[in-house]
Amino acid sequence: MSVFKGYLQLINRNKGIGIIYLLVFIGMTFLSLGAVASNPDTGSFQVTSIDIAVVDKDDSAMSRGLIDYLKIDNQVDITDEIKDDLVDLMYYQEISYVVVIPKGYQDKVIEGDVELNVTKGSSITSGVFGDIRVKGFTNKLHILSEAGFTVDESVELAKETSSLKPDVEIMDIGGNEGAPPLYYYFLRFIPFLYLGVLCFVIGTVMLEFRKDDIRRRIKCGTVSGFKQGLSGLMAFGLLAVFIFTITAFVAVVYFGKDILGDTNLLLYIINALVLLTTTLSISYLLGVSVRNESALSGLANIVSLGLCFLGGVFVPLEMLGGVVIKIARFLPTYWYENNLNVLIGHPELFTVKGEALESYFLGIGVQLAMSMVIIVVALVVRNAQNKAE
Amino acid sequence: MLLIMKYSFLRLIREFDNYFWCGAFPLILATLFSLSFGSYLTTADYEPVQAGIVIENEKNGFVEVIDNLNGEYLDVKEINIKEAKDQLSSGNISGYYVVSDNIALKVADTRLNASILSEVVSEYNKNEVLMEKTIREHPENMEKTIDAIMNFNTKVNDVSLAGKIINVNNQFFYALIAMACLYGNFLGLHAMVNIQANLSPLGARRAITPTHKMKVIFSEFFVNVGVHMVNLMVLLVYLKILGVVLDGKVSLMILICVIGVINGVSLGMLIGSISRKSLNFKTGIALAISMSASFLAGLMFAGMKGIVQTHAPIVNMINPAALISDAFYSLTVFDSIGRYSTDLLILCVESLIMLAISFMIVRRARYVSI
Repeated sequence: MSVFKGYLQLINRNKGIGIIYLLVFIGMTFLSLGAVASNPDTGSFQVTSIDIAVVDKDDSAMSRGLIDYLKIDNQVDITDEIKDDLVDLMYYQEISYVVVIPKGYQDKVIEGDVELNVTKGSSITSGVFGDIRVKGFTNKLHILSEAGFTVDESVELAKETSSLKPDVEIMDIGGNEGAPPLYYYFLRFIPFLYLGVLCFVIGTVMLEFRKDDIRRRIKCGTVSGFKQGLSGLMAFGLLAVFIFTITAFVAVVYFGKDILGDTNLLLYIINALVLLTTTLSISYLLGVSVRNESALSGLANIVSLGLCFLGGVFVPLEMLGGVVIKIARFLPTYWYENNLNVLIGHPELFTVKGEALESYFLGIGVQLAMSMVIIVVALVVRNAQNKAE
Repeated sequence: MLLIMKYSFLRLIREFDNYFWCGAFPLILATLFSLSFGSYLTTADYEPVQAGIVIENEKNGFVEVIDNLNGEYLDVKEINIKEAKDQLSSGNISGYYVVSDNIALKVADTRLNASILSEVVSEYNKNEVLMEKTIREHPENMEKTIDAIMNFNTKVNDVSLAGKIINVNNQFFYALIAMACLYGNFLGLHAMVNIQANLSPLGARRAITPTHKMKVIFSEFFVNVGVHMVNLMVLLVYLKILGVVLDGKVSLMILICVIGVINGVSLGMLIGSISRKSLNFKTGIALAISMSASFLAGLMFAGMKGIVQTHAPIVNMINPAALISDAFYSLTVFDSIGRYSTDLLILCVESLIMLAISFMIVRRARYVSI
């Protein structure tokens, strides 16, 4: 109990830096929400509207018709030349498709020899969607002129047909018309917050225990190395519960009824708690392994950012290549994110049962197994260090 | 001063852990970045949209249209209605067409792949309407119209914008270089702690010497900048090996790194000098600042700098990580060095201010006899 209290005292002594990290990581998480909400075009699926810039060098009835057509479902910026700010907009992903309408576009459409230069952003799918729209409209203009319609009639007819809507039914399997709710992104970034805060705080406290005076004082006592390790884990467990409570509170305040009303709420909580257990064990192993502050800041960053990048926290799992996914299966963050995708895709997962529910519990089991292995390794390392001293 | 620099250098080498992590961490992170989206650094291939087609009427012309598009935009497989529903539920396909006398499309959501599937039906329906219109108003041109529908296709060339290479994923790497520069703040922080008598035994030893504080600060400063520059050079070479676009004159890139490292070390010196808090606490602050700055420059999300630019451009103007990554971006994408120079000028001014404050805090420090 005295070792446990000692850990708590040290956690309390380092609470200042802990609070700073907590605030920084919560801030980063919420800013990330803004990034994803305003910039979902990162290579994965996308809503119907894409941001297009049109450079109109022709300024003819047909080029204006094409612009009007593109405006129907998309955000369109029009300019007469390529400027540096257009490059900036594409670089910052504020536009995902640029089409240059060349001089003489109208004449070439009529002749049937039209070529358009386009530039696609990071999302290839957005680019293909842009291609289909631009090609579709230009093709129709040519077809109509071949059919004998005048330029103005062709443009009008092509625009008129654009109001025709196909018979499309959204099955809405995951609810919310397939678009994940905003709290999904919060939950997606939670590993970053947990890993960031716990790795740094636990690492800092563990470093205190490496100081000669404290280590010698503890060695004078009769508490075994194993019990000391266990006491440390319990104290850090308490810290983890505290951090979970804070994040849960923030989520409830920010998302309110949306998240509280989710039919999978319990499963989200279980998933987050299991992740917390894994994060705790990783942080403990890190704390046992590092020798000084520099190593701690370096390793904590590598671990937290590495697990987040490879586990699908920052880069969605769909975007990771096959080899990376194979590597990611060895990371707890992958299983957490995978479970999150299962839950988002299946409202009322308990009632669905079958493959999806099995997949969810497999994810939970793998995370717990990883957590156990890491804790055992950490305790063994700690014991070995004690014996070596 | 050379003697002080020599011993500063020896101390830095002996505290190898500090130096090692400042250099090794960006290299490891670069490797992780490269693993995560390595294929997107060059060119990524479009993967056709997976879809199903349930054919109830084989005579419908839409079946032929799908056959023609298969492999280009779509990867459509003929399945029965039950399989289609199951595959849509499990997310294996983005949607499925039901082709009877009419064409119906069932999709799981409203995302872009579903929109592409919808656009295919839409184009087909529009062409049908145009055909009817032509038959009514210009029946004499029917043959030409059919020929145009069947054979004409607008050519679209995928080109770079004004000949400029834009790969948004490079933002991650530019932000990483910025972070590596700012990691110099750990070196600067340790240097400052080792100058102050109330924070370290070495500081106490130095305080009793008559050496001018300015000399000591600048010696530490130059040594730390020089040593950390070696880290940055290794990082640049490594990024080049990974295939990150680092175009532009090498000398100009090195200049960004020099000024970035100066900024990082100055920041560390400032953090080290402004309070009597423990080294642990100051390290935490240094880390929180460098991580936040790198985050806002796009280290975790490529679009973050753009969002900051839209909502709070002043942050991008003063955030050293954003300025460093912007300087690399300007060098790689633009020919003009106007923007590049502005970025570096702001970084220099910031560094000067931070160094001046650090010096002013430390120079008149006196310790009472106890």
